Amino acid sequence: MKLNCRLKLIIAISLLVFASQLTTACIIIRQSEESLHEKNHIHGEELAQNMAEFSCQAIVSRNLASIYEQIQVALKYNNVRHVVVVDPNQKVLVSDNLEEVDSIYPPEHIKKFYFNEKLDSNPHYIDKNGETIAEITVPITLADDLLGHVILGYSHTEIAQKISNLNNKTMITLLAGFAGAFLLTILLTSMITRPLVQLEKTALKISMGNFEIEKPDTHGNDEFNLLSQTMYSMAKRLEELVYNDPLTGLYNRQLLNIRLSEELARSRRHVRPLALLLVDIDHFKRINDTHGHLVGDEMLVAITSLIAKHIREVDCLARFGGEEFIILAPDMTEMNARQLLAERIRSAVAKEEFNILPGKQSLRITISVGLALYPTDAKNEKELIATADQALYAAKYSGRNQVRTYSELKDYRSVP
Amino acid sequence: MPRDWDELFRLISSGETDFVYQPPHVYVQLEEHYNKSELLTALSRRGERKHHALLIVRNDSNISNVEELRGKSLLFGPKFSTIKTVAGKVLLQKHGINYEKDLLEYRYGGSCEEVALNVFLKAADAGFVCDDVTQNLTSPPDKTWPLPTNSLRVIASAEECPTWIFSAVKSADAPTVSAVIRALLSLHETQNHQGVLKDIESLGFAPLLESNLLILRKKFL
Repeated sequence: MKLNCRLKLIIAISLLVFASQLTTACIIIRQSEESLHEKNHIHGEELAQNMAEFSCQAIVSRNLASIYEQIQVALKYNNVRHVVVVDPNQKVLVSDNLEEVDSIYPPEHIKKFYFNEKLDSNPHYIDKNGETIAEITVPITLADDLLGHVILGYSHTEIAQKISNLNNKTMITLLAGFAGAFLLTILLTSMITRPLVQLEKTALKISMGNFEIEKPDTHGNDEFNLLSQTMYSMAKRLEELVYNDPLTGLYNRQLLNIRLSEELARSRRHVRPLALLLVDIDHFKRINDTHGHLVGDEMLVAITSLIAKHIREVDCLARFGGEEFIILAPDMTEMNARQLLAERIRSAVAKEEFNILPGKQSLRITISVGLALYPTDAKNEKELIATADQALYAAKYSGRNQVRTYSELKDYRSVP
Repeated sequence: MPRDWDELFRLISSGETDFVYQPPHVYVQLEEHYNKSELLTALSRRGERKHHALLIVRNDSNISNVEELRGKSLLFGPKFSTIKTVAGKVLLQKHGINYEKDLLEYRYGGSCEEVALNVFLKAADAGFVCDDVTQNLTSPPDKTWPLPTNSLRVIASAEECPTWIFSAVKSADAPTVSAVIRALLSLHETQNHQGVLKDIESLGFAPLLESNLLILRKKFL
């Protein structure tokens, strides 16, 4: 699967955020776990220490019943599972389970101790209920005499429960945070890569020959924006090079073909006529031969400039060949196209004195125009140009400096 | 709650207290200060006006009678307990044991439960407990009894004595005394008085029978 830049960015940032959140969560859980164990351990040790001090007095005064009462109090703490007072020989003096009195500690069912440095430094065992119990042993001493030990077993179940709750809460927070971060990533990535995507679309359009691109926002000054503006300028320049005649600045034949297709389609859609005028400068070769090609070029520019003054905004003027031009005039009847456009242009050119020669010498020139109409004279672009060309040929043949329509040729040909 | 005998005597003599709740042997010694027509006795947990102490040892003990207590350690009840201390000492005396000389050691204990626990835990070889714990020794004990069944056994019983006595001093206001006596007589375990009665380990109050006091006077004093 091919991933685009935006998707790659989203995945990369999301993974980074997720990994960072996961690491943070792991650290928090680990520290909380250690803190909980330490807290419990300290509490257990304090309790065992108090029990040892109390037991010392009780053993001296031989009131072991008071130790039992104290054990009952200690057992009320959530995590305390058993408390045993043994003599120096590990013989049980008092226990929360009175059945154990006089036996040797530890009893058979809790002899399998293990150490878990991750939890604490105390020996641990699994009791009959499956609970992990840590044992804290505190000596009972009177001066330098050892009277016995207090053995206090506390459960890790509550801690495990708390850690489990913490895990769940952390996981929910993590997922919620990740979801939020993911959405934010999408938003930010979209914002960051929007100009890039725009650039991609623009480049794609240009590659397909479509130069109708949106002008980029000129307010931004980041790299992407500058790149967009540069690409826009490049596209416009390229458009000029591709579609415009470098000499006259008119549409070239390539764009003419496109425009012709569009105009024909529009004409078909709206059932309106489209006039095509094929203009050719009479005896243009003579100008080139007599005054040189530079003057010829200037003449071309001057004539196109003159023609452009006489066409409407909706009309399209393009350079068709060397000294040939085409004018596309939508929504015009043959008569209007001839009188209001072709004749007017021809007349304007014929009357014009072109001051393109050195000194005060001016040059006069004429043009011939062939006119064809869609749909009356042709069914498609090719036919339309061909029929206009035939009309132009007729104009040339008839003596130049005139306008001929294809319909006249048809009428002429139809005469037996 | 007076700290000792002297304080109790002072409280009664000075009229600072109107009512006294005391063990029967204390009552007998102070009875001249009391109004004898307004006397109540606390019924034992078995609902009786009299009770007695039991001398217990561990079930695995080699002591089987009172005489074998010589050279052993013994736990009486609280110092002012009529049945566990006064009657206990009388029991020893009857069996020819001088508790001051013949025992290895004697101490005054607390509640019956505490005495029984200390005997069970070998903090003492024997001890006196109230007779109402009998059922806990042989049959399944009640919830508050900590010891395993048949872990202790009874080797002797002390003389029966009246239960604790509630008395009004002579100087007390008669109507107040009557009202208090009526209130105490109305206490009953089946009603909402369990909390009060539980603290004094009693089923309620009943008028004191002079005949019970006669036994006490005759045997202990």
